[in-house]
Amino acid sequence: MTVLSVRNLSVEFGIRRGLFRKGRVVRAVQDVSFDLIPGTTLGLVGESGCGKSTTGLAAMRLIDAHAGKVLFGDRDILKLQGADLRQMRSKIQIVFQDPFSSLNPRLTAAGIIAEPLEILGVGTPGTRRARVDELLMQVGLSPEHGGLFPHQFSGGQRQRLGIARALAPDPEILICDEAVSALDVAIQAQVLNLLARLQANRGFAMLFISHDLSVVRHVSDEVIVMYLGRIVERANAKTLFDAPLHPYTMALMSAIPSRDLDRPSTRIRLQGDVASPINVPSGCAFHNRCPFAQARCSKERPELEQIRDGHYAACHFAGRIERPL
Amino acid sequence: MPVETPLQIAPPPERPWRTTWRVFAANRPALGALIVLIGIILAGLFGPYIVAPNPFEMVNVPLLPPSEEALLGTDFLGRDVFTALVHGARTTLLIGIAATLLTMVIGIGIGAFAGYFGGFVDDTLMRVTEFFLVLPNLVFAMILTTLFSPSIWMVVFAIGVVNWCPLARLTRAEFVRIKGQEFVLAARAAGASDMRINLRTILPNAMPPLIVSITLLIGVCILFEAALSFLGLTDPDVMTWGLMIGASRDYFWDAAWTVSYPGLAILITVLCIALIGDGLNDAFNPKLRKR
Amino acid sequence: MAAAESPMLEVHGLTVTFDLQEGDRITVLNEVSLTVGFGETLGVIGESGCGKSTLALAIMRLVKPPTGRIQSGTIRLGDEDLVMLNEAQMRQRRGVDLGMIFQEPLTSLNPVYTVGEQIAEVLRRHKGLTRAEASARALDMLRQLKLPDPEDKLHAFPHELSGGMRQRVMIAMALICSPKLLIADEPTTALDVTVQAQIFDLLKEIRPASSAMILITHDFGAVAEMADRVVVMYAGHCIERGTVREVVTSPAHPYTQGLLACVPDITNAGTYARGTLPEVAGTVPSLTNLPEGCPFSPRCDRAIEKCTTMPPDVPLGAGRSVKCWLAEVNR
Repeated sequence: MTVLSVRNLSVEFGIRRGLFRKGRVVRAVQDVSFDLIPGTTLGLVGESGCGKSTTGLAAMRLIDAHAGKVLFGDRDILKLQGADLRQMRSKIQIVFQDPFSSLNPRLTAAGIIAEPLEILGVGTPGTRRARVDELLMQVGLSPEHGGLFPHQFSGGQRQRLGIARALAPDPEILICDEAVSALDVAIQAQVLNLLARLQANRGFAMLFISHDLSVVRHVSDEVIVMYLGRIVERANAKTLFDAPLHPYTMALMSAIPSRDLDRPSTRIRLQGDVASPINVPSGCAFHNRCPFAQARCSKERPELEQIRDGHYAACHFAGRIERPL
Repeated sequence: MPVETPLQIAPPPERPWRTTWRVFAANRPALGALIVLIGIILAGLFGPYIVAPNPFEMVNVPLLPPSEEALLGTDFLGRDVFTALVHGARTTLLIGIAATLLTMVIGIGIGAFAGYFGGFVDDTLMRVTEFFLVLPNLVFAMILTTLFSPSIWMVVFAIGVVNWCPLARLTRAEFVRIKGQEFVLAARAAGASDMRINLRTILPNAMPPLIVSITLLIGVCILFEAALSFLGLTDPDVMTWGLMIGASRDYFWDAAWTVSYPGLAILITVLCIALIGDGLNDAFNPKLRKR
Repeated sequence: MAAAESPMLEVHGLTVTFDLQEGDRITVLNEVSLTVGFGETLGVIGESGCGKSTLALAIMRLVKPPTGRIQSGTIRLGDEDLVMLNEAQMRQRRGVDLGMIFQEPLTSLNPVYTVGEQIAEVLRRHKGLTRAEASARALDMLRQLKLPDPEDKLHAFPHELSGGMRQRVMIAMALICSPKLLIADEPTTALDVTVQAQIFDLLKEIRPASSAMILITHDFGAVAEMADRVVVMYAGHCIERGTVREVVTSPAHPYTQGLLACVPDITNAGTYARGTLPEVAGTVPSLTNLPEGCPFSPRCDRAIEKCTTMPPDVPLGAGRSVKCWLAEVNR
């Protein structure tokens, strides 16, 4: 039932020095694999520099991947050319984070939503206009709003426009790259509910990228945690958050300030700052901040392995750590 | 299922162009300059049909001061200054605009390519730009018109070819800035080709500062033409203001009117263009205006 | 009021307006009153446009006339009314009695001076220390903040540090003169969650016991962690206040209730089925177009007739009140 299969995706950036292309190499994403299933949501979570946004952009070929495969049906997206590539574009769409820079300020709302249809050559101006009106209503706006410009809308409304635009070509996969992070919480709830409704109606698969664990937990069926370009843990949402296996996931969860005043504060305190992908530590990339690190961790990089049923972690001691509650 | 309350949208503020116009019109010097310039353009368009058809015709006594017979006097060949001025308006403006168009095509084209593609293309194009920037442009223009026949098209070409550098750099800067905005990525995600993105997504957003530059460029091209004409390096069969000054330069002390009026015409035109350009700049960026 | 001693900071009836370019005047803070006791942390919570940042700037007297204006009200710090002071006097208070930390440390630190110089400058200006003395104190402070390699960091430029480190530098600058009141305006919003936790821990450890703090945020979790009391703001009004426990466990104002319900908390995030997250319908009103009476009434599902006039501040107990007719009616 998988609609998209990502296998061993790797993305590298060269830091240019002068006239030559590559100085140092930043390995933003390394060996990432996951599947997207229609009607379900995969949450991709991690802090800045972990490569989650890069993964999403590479999976839909908005950035060039260095290695790996992205299989849509039986075709590798990364190898498509010309008309096939454009065909694919109508199947995978994205909603961006910033409601202010993700809409072309010179186009009307209707123009923005119709743009993918125009580019892909779908329908006639008449049918496109009808579809735009339909989409506007589906995202909670009205056809009159079509003639207005982006700066006349609020942040939450602009995000709705972004969603309408992404859904215009009726994609099978929707990637949300921090799509609600820039919104106030009350608006965030509205947009999350909207996305859930739309997914229930249209059945697309969703890749939800975010740094906000609470939102990811609410939205996702399955969750992946990334650290410095690699997947460190994967499980279904409930299991991951109820009983995380990787120390990083535990630290992330304990770092979130909770509204539960009676919860004892047993925080796992991480030393140091979020590591940068330019200087990836040897062995396990997390070992220099991990409160449970042993000698082995700086020498040998742990592979992502299944520890329990459907629950994977990349840690030498996964499943054997006494976790503070 | 919560009902969507009708979304509160503020009453639509005026459309962008109207705000721009309103701010521009509030700038008195700019508005005045626009009116004067329109007058000059009208004179250039219709004037040659009203006054005598040939400005090169020797109609009167040479070096006649401004009087009833000759409104602005005559030059050393007996040509009527006023007639020449009116014909000159048309040609000077046309040359200015034509040269500007050529500059635009080269400058915006190179800047857009460099800005959008980056990397090796960018480096190469920018080195080419810097090379042209370093060339003394008047000298280069002179060389071009001297080497090839000084027809009016050669003059337009020479002016266009030396003045595109600042526009290229500005365009490149704008393209680089806009390229990083997410709506460009969104267009790519919808399958837009590079060409489409450049022309239909990025360029319209880059226009405001470019429009200002282009407006000022017209003034620069007019001055350039005047300089070339003054040095006698232009088409002698086309009457322009620069040609008038150049032809009569020995008579400045005795018959100032032969030189002053065309000079004044150039001054006023270029000044008006500069004021309009300034006004447009403020109108496009109301946040930068000091209250 | 149980405590006999007067509060560290007392804001009463503060009203601040801004003049817009088109000639409109908007009221960004409307009769805002709050108190912060010695050693206490007050959380100010609200969404964008509610006026919480303006509140911080107003207390620091950084609201600049002629566009921004304090129309009325008092801001008593200790026994002085800050509204009555002139600019020269305020300059002496800022940095010394009042410290402020901003949201985005990259833009609030000067990029062309090293971090050490910036911290030292605060000391030299306010305490008249020599260069050497100030440098030594700055180094000391960096050690206290647990910055790795503090000697090197002293000579580093802001852009060479990570976001978390920059924020620590900001905290250093704000706290180095031991101010009576520290205002933190969304200090961790731009930071990753693990760094955010470090900053919160730091703020708890490093503050002198008697100083007070105002924490401005949109996150109830942060308020629950850090604050003793909290004030909820909406469209320039303080619509609810109380201890953190009171407001978080039994919110009285419909807006507060909606806000608490609509954010998935990590401990209960799984409890809502997808698509059924409680929403607060509608959007925050524009300050140029406020509704009649209670600013929240158009979005409130329990609005009554009376809501077309502004409700008073209804006391619900010691230090607890809410601006809502429903509370008044149910009293």
